[in-house]
Amino acid sequence: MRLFVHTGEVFKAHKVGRFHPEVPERLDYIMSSSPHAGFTVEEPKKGDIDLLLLVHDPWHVETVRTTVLKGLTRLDIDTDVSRESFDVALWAAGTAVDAALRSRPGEIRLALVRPPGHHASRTESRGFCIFNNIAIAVEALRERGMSKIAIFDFDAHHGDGTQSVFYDRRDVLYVSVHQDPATLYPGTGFPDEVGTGEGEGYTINMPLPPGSGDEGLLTMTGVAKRIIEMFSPDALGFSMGFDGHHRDPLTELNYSIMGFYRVGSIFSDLCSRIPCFGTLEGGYDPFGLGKGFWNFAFGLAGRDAPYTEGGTTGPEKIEAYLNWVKSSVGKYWPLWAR
Amino acid sequence: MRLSNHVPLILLLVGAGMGALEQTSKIAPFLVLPSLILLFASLRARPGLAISFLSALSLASLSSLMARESTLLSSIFIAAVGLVLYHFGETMHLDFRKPTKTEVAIVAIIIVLSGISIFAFVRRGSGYVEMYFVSPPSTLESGQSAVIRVAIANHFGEEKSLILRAYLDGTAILTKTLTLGPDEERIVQIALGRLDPGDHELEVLGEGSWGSLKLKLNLEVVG
Repeated sequence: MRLFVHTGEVFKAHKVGRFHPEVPERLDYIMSSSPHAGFTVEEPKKGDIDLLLLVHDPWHVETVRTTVLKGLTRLDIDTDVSRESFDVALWAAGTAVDAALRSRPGEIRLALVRPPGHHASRTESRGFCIFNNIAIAVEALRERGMSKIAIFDFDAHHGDGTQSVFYDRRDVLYVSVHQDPATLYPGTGFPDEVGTGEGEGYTINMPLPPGSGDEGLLTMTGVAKRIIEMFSPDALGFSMGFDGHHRDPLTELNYSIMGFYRVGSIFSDLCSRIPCFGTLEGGYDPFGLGKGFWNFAFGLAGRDAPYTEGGTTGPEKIEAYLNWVKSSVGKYWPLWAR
Repeated sequence: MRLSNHVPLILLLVGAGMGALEQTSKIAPFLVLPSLILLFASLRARPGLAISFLSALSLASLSSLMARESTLLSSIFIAAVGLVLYHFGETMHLDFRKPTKTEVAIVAIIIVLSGISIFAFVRRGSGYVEMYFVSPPSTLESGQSAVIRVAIANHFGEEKSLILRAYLDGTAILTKTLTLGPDEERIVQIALGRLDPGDHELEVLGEGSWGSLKLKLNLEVVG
């Protein structure tokens, strides 16, 4: 399968505090780790305010724009901004949409953008995120006539923003594998959060205990893939977070870069049949993010892993977490039916 | 008031504070809460304001590093240190007096021990060995002599050794011991010879005291 990476220098203009983890160099960590061949780099594309309004409330967009232009440095306790941040956020949304709209079966398009997006709700910017890039991309696909889209979010933090955008919708399936919200920001993403109204059963949360390792990640990802296949989406979007890596400073999931490779491999056959795209979320360790991204991308494209390290295993209680998911999700998705 | 009267209160404070901050911010749990709790406990121990701050900062740095390994471990550490300091403390009055020699010595020991522990934490997680195929072919012509290149890089700040083994279709074809200096990268060539038409699998294993790595390459030889 062909692999396209949509990125550019423009994303480095979004500046954060000196000791903030979501630094512009994150994209360098990835691009400086790139394998010599096997992918094509595409130029980023700037979005406009109409694109943001596909997901976000107008007053919120305007509040962020004026706050940033006033030179204020923070949108919430975690979300640092600079004067260029609003502009860069438009580029991030536009590039995510461009990757999504141009994706085809057998062609993987991944948007390496910042700021990330999955914590941003319709009315709030938080958790390093200004606007919700993946949600905007999904809405753009819906506008183009796709009737069902799935999102798989494997960032270590739950994508509370993305969940909230689609919580009452049945046309978008949101599946997230993340660290137990009792132990990590944002404190949402328990299995019993399953959606509401028409959307009941179309939000799937699969928490993992700290220290889960690749074993936990792959157990949950295997279940996630089966649910996504049952949903039979027209397209699949990935919220790509690499902060579950064992060297990452913010989380304790203990994944290895081989775990990310196998996540990609699990979805590879599906991506040969339907359009697949992705947007970058978290990942703050140079090795975990840089090598983890390429391993995921190459796994998705059905190729050998460009990088390796020893795999990691998890505690026995992963089984208990799987049962927890099963008890909440089983009635909507008969995966465990005999 | 003795220790027994305050244990539930302090544990509640640590647990609730850590839990609340963990769910409201990505960064704050690692920076704010440990510092506040330890400063609070240090002030209670009356070693002087400035010196309390120094020792609290030092312990908080250690605690935040521990949180990278386990939030639970970090919480227990904060609670334990907080309890000890609180137990030996006398009043909640801020104390601006000049510290005694004993107090200076105690804080110096805290800072040195924290420093050593932080150094040990950082060093333990500061390196890795990387191994990958360099521009590997996926198909080969029958009769073509193939050489596969594997890069091994040592990203530890010290010398590391490894035993490299290569297997072609399950048969050992190479065993080699390598010693790499800090940040040294080396390329090892694996000669496969002439292969019969069909599918072949090359597996490369690297093992050392730092862990192990495995690479797999599927090769299709066409007639």
